[in-house]
Amino acid sequence: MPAPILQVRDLRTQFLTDGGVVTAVDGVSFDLFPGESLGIVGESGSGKSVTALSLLRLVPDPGRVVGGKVLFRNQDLLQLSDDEIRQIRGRDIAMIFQDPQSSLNPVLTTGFQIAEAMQAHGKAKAEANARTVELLKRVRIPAAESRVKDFPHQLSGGMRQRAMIAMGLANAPSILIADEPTTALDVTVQAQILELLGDLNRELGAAIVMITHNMGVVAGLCSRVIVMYAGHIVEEGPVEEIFERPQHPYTWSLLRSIPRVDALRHERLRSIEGIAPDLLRPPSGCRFHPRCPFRIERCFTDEPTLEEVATNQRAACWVTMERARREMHADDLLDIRPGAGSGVHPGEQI
Amino acid sequence: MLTRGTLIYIGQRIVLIAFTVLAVSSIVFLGIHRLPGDALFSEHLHGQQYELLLHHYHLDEPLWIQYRDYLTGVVTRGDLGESLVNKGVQITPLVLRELTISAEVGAFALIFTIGLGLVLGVVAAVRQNTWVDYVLTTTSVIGYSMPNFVIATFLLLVFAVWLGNQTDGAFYYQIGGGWTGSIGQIWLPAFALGFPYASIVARLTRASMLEVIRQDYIRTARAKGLKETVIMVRHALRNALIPVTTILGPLVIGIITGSVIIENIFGIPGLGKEFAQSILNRDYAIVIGVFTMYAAMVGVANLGVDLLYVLIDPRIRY
Repeated sequence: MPAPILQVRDLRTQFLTDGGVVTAVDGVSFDLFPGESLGIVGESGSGKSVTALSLLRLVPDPGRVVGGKVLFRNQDLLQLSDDEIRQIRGRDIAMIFQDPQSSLNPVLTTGFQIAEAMQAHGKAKAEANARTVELLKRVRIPAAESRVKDFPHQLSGGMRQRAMIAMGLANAPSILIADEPTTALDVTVQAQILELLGDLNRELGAAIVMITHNMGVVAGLCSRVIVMYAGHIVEEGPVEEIFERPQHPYTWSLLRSIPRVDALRHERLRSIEGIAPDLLRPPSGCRFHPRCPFRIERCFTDEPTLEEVATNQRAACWVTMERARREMHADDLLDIRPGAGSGVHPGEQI
Repeated sequence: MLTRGTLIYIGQRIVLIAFTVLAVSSIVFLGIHRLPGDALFSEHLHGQQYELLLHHYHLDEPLWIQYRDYLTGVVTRGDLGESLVNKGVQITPLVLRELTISAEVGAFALIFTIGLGLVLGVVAAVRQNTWVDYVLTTTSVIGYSMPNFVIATFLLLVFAVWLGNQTDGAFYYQIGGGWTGSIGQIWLPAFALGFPYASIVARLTRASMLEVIRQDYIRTARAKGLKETVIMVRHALRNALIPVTTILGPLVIGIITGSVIIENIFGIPGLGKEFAQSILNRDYAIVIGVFTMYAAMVGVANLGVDLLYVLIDPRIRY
């Protein structure tokens, strides 16, 4: 395996709110390899977007990256001066965002906003303008020559996201972070955007970090996936392994809750019982234990660490799904309420 | 920018302004004659002389005929008539000359208002919750809670009395007695006129900037690696200007009407001074003329502001 292009070690990001300190990202470590596409999944509030923003130090107030390292080309991005990190942003590591409607400036033309990304890193204006048209063609925007003069409101949602991607690719970055790039788009356009990202990943060799809550997006685009829950990484591994044999009950529940076309009509949609924890007062032990059907006594008190559960696959769970299947008949389980599989209901301890 | 639609829109608005101006001058024409006293009364004229003067100004004719003649004069020749107090003085050139003086003060006041307001607002927003912000916010609260005549009086006290050499006591020098004049120390009346509005602009700009810099597209701009100053000026300020433009209309009108007081305090022979003087003199014709000018200015100012939107926000097209 080649050397990783980005190494994240023990990243911690906190928000100082009126209610107290929220640790949105709590000790996240992972590697990103050149040219790969890595998915980071989790539900709202799991810390996946904040992780992405932390890499480029774009966390909005009152958020602060309080610890850890983000190593890129032997330098820690968290230690760079404001001007040095500015040089990295958009040139080496580019980022595209969820809602292309609000992420593009309404009063500047799309072409200008793309060209600007190149001029910020020293490209001459004429050259930047010429490349803008090329980029728009590359992301398959029809009539690119005339579209450069259009304002964002004159483009469709899909075209806006294509323009955003063009902006992200403008300086041929080695890493492209995509923060839920398809969430605001309708399904057919989602598929086109994913296909485009996949092509660009293969053709340009840029590593992609795909932040999403959609397991389908991960399956379609990524080769490796990180599952986050309440600020922690709970499982990571190759996409095939994770989809075939998830080892963390949370991953298992997520995959199980994808609606299926072949499900019986009267069957209720499956969800994960309970709500995501309040990060102002995170649960003791394993953060998923209040919602976990397979929890054991230990889960209430001890925090599990990421351990190798299969080749290249790691999970942070005391039980793991292998044992849950063997001992708790996980696959036949209909009742997925907390503790349903394991029979551990120490209510007073919660 | 100047599309066919915009030109048609401008045309429509100009027609509308013309009608408004006509309506205003009609109302003033009919209303002013209801004021007690008249211009000729103060001349202590009696008998035939008085009758002759009345006849000269057609004041002996029925009101509706006077009104008809006046209207024909305005519409066909742009002639606002002759001064009642200063016989033989034509009003149209008089108010036009005074308009240039007032416009000069007004333009400088507007520069203060917008320039100062924007700079203070942006700085306060960028330095939110620091002492810079608190000082600027407090200053602007003081600014818009003080009427312009209070500020004017303070300025006079400081610069004309305590530091008398700063102004020589004069704020207006006429050049050659003709059309052009020069306003000495123009920044004093302009500041008095503009500062209260600058404070409003500053507060609005601050609030607007604070909202804009939390927008997603500002994050995008940062993610591109743009310099912070570029982000603030090109991406944030441009969007923050949109709500500020909205109050520019009432604000310009405030500056125009505020000039009535300021010009009187500083002794600037502009439209505002004439406005007050002519009412006191019962100089009907000038009152109507000045009102007409004011109505036209307000109309044009509003049109100007509406056209500014097009420049600032590409989503707005007429």
